[in-house]
Amino acid sequence: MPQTKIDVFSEGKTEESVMTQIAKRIITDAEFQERGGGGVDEMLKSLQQRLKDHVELQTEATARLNILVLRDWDEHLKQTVEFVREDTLSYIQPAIPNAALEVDSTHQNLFVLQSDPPKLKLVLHVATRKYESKFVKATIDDFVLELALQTVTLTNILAKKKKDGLKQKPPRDWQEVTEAQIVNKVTQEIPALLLSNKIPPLVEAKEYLRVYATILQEHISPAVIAGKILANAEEKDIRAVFASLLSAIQSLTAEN
Amino acid sequence: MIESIHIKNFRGIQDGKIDRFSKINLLVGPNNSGKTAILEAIYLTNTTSTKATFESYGFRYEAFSPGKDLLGKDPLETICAKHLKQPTTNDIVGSIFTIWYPTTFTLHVPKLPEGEQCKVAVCSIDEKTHAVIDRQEKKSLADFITPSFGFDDAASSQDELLTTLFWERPLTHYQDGQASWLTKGCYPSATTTFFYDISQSLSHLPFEFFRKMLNVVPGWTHKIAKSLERIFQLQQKFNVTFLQLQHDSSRTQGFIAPEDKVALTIDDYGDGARSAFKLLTPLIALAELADQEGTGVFLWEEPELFQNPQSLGKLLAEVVELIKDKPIQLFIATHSIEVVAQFVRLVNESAINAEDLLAIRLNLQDGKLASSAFNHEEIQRWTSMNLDLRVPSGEVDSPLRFQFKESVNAADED
Repeated sequence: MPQTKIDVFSEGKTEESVMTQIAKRIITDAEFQERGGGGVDEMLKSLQQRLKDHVELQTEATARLNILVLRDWDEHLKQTVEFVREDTLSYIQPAIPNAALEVDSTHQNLFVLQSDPPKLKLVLHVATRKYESKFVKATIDDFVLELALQTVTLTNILAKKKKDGLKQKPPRDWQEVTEAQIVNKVTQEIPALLLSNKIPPLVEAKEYLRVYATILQEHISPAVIAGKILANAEEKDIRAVFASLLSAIQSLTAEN
Repeated sequence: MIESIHIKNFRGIQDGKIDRFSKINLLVGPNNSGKTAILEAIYLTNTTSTKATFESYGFRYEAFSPGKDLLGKDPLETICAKHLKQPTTNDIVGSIFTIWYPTTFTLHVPKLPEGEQCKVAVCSIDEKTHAVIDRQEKKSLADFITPSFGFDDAASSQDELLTTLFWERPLTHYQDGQASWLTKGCYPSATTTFFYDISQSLSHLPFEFFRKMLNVVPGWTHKIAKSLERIFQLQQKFNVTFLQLQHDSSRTQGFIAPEDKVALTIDDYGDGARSAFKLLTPLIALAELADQEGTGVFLWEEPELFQNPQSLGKLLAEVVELIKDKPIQLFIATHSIEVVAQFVRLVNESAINAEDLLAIRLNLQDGKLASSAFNHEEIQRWTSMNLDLRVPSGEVDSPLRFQFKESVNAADED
């Protein structure tokens, strides 16, 4: 069966890393092309240009354009989910004047636009799941952090470290390190240490992911660690945590 | 400046329009997407500018017939030769008619042989629609002017539009016999219209053109030499000169004469140098003539031909330098993303203004032409999306990827 091509417009590299792993492990009948990046404004301008071009160049032979838009929910900027939907729509409508983003029946954070002509299906996924309610914003990192702190994910990561660590130069001994220790360091001890030293607290998932990567002595970039986390997570956990994202993709791979 | 074009029934294009042009226009698209047809349509319109007067059915028209282009070439013969054809003689008399809306009616009629009666009549159907009737064949062309050629945009437009009517059957859509297109914004000027393609690089310059330019372009041959020096980074001093061909006195051949060596014809050099020479020689003249004789239009098919990327970049920069402050509009048809990238760089380096550059993507399916115009910023955004300008889907099966913007250590970005 030919793979469905999906253009992905997202705000950063973490989303790209997540989509790469999802394509590798979960959704194998879709091919994702990262089109966004460079921040939300540039991503939305790119989306608008892609749509404008699709509308202007379409003929009867033009295939349906499948687009997945991944956006954060910047609550600290007083944004609501409705604002994110309307903001996205404001970049779509100059290309498709009567476009509407309808809320999906299964996930309240998914919004769907389907049209013909122009042959188009677009799903907007808003990251509304905060790992901690005190976090100031919801992003794809919240999903990744939740997966990162699953015991099985850590078991898989630590198993490799225990096996390979001693071969490193200089050797790194991970034999005594447990999953619970890592979770405790990330979620309790480091935040408490900051607090006791009157250092401002961590307020978003990306910051916790940086701590997580530091403790595991991994590449510090959240985008890189996100890829590693998804590669080591159990499939059922990925399906549970990323249920709305997977639903969005399945909607785009469906013929109608 | 030509601002838009709407073509019906010309070559592969049954119907299609391009809504905006800029000073520099890069037409990109797959094979058979209409790039060359658009260049040819613009060329035919812009070379139909020889004035005459025409009266019919009580209407008096300013009449124009096709003239000779910058090089003194017959435009219809030139276009037919590109397609290895001879202009037909047994078709309806003439080939090109243009009508200005709404204030001035300008009818372009072909030159008739001496003593020959005009076989074409024109009548007004309404204020903006005109029928051209072939008296000889008793065939009314009103049928294709309305409704087939009833351009909605002409009827509703407040702008002056130039209508070109074209009857060279082999070059009309599926040999339908009749083609037409509307252009907006530019009054035609044959002698400042220059079409450069591969056939030009393989032919000799007309001697008459050489004689005229020697008289009107100050330091012409010196300017050609300087341009070649810059493009090919030549250290050795040399002059450029021309001689009549021994076997064809109507043609002339360029020579490169170094200070300390014997002169060689430009045709003895490599294809890249020869092609650049044969392009720059008329273009330098066009830069001098434009405005004196009319707005210049330079139509250039596949600049990448014969050029190494290094000389291509310098050639494009030289062309831009020649035209940027002149009333010359440039139309390029290209398959090379490198050409597009070079123009983006010229904007980034402020050699040209960003608003003077457009890349126009074309998609032609079943005769219907669709187009999408990208400005400088949009070209860069498109490539940063890993999309290719040259095909409608944006995805080319190629091992090469272009990135016009600098990207820093992407893996470390959030």
